[in-house]
Amino acid sequence: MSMLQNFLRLMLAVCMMTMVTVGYAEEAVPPADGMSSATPFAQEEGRTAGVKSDTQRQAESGAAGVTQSRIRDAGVFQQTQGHDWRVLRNGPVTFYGGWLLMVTPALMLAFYLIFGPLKVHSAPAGREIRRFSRKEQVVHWSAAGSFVILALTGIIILFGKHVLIPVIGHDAFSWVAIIGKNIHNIVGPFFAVAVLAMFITFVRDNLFKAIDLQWLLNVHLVVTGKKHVPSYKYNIGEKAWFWGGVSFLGLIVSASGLVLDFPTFEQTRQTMQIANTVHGIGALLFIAAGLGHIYMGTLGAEGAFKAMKTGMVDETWAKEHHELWYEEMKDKA
Amino acid sequence: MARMKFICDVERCIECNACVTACKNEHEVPWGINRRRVITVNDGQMGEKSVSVACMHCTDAPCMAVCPVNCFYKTEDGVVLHDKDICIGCGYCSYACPFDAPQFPNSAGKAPGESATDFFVARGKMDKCTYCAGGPEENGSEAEFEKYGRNRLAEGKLPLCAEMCSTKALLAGDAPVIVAIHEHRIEQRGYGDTRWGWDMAYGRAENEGADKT
Amino acid sequence: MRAFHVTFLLAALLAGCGEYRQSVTYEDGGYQGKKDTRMWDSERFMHDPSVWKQMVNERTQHQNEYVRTEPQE
Ligand code: SF4
Ligand code: SF4
Repeated sequence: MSMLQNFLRLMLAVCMMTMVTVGYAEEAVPPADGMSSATPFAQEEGRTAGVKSDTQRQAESGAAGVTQSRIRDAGVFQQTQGHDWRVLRNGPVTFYGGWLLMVTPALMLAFYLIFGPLKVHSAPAGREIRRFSRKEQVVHWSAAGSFVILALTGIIILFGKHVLIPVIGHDAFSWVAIIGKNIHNIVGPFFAVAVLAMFITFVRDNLFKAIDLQWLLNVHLVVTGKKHVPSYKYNIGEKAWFWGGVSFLGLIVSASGLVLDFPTFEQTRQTMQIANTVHGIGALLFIAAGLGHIYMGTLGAEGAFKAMKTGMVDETWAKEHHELWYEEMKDKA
Repeated sequence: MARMKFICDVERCIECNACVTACKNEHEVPWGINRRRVITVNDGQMGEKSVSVACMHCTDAPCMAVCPVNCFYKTEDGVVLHDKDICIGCGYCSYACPFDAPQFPNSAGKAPGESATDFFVARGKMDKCTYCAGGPEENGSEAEFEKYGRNRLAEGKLPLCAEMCSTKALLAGDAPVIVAIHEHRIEQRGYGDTRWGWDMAYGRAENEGADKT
Repeated sequence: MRAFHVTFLLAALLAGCGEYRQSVTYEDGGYQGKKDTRMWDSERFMHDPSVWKQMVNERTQHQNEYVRTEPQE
C-alpha cells in the first residue's frame, strides 16, 4: 500500500508541477449584485488573534490526537489538504479537462473535413481474411463498451453541474447523477478486468518492431495518406494507443478508480484526494486519446469499423493497411 | 444578519463528550455518525488540550465547492446546510472538509476489518452538523426532523452542544457576540489560544480558493 | 468553421465555471435554487429578523458567566 501511495503522490507532484508551469488563473467571480463579499461575513479577528500555543499549531497542521469517535481519521482536528484538492479539482482539472474534451473532437472534425478518411485505393478483392478472433472481439467490445459508459458517467460527475444544472435544475440533475454515479461504480471494476484482458490478448502483436521507426519518421505523410509504410498486424499509431492508452492510462485509471470505489479499507482523506486527482487527470487524457482511437476506428479509416464488428477485413484493405501482416497470413494459409 | 460560528475554548474543554452525546440525542443521529467529536491533543503529555469540533460553517466552504450536484447552501446566518434529497453520496465533501464534518452513514463507526465486507454500502446520503438549523423541509416539521434533526434556530435557540456545555467551553452564536465573550475570558485569565480552526474556516474570503492556484 | 465558433463559445463559457459564488442571497424561497425557510419566518418572531436576532443574541449571553459575576452597569 505504501508503495502505491508513494507512486500516486509522485504522480500528483508531477501533475501539479506541470500545472504550475503552465500557469493558471481563473476569472475572479464578480460579486453578486449590491453585496461586497465583506459585508455579510466580516472577519471578527479579535484582539488575541494570532496567539497560538504549540498544541494548537500541532492540531491545526493535522497531528492526530485521541478521540472517542470511530470514523477514519477522527483524531485529526483539521486537515489542510482538502482545500488544496478542491483548488486543483475545481481549477486546472475542470478547466483544462474541459478544454481538452472540446478541442479534441474539434480537431478531429477539422482533420476529417480537410483530409477526409483514409481510403482503400484499389478495388476490393472480394475475399475476406480474419483479422480478429472471436475472443479478441469479445474482449475489445467489453472494454470499449465499458469505456464509453464510464466516460459519459464520469463526465457527468465532473462537468454535469456546470452544464446540466442550469438547464434541468437541481432535482432532475440529482437523479441523473445518482444513476450515473452508481453505473460508474459498478461498471468500473468490470473495466479494470477488461483492461487486463485487453493487455493479455493484444500484447503479443503490439511489441515494437524495427519497421515502426520508419512509420514514425514519416508520420505526417502516412496519416494524410500520401505515403505508405508497410506494417505488421498493428502500426505504430495503434501500438501507441495500446501502450500509452490502454496499458498505461488504463492501469492508472483502474488503480485509482478502485481506491475510490471501495472506500471501506480505512483509506485516509489524503489517499482519496490523490486518487481522485490522478483518476480525473488520467481519465480526461484517456478520453481524449480514446476519441482519437474511436475516430480512426470509425470515420477516420474506411473498413476499420467492419473489422471491429465482424472480425473480417477485405484482402485489399489488409494489403494496403497492414502489408506485412497480410503476407504473414498468406504464408500461413 | 447574524453570522453563526462556533468557538471551542480549549482552556476550558474537559473532554466530557457531553456535546457529542447531546447532539446525538437531540437529532437522533444515525448509528456510527458523529456530527461532533472531541479530540485530545498531546494526551497525557505537557500541553494537553481538548477540543470539540463539528462543522465550522466555513466562509469559503470546500464542501460546497466540490459537491458535484451543488447540494449545499449557505443561509443568511452563515450556516452551511446540505440537502439530502439532492446528495448523491459520492463523499467528495468529506474529502474536502478540513474538519471531517460530512460523514457517510453505515460505513462509519465499524471496527476495522468489519467494514471491508460492505463494499458499496458506504454510499448513503451524507450527514453533517446543521448548526441545529434543520434542512430544506418546513421548519420544525416531522420530515425535517427525520432527515436533519431538530431545528433549534427556528425556535430562537442556539445549538444544543454549546448551550448545555458544562464548562461553557463551547460557544455558539453570532460571531461578534461570542468573540467578545471569548476575548473577555482571555483578558480575565491572562492567557488562551486564539480560536482553533478559525484560520482555516474563516480565514479565506468567499470563493478565494477559486481565484488562484 | 462553424464547429470552431461553437467550440470556442463553449470553451469561453466554461472558463469561469470551476467555482460558484457561495452566495447567501435569499431569493424565490431558497438559496441558490435550494428551498428553505428563513429561521425567523414564522409567527413566533412576527416574521421579523431583528426580533429573532435579539432573542438569539440574548440567549448567547447565557453562555457568558461573567454577566453574573460582573453585573453590567
Ligand atoms: S466545516 Fe466542513 S462541512 Fe462545515 S462548512 Fe466547512 S467544509 Fe463544509
Ligand atoms: S456526498 Fe453528497 S453532499 Fe457530499 S459532495 Fe457528494 S453529493 Fe455533495
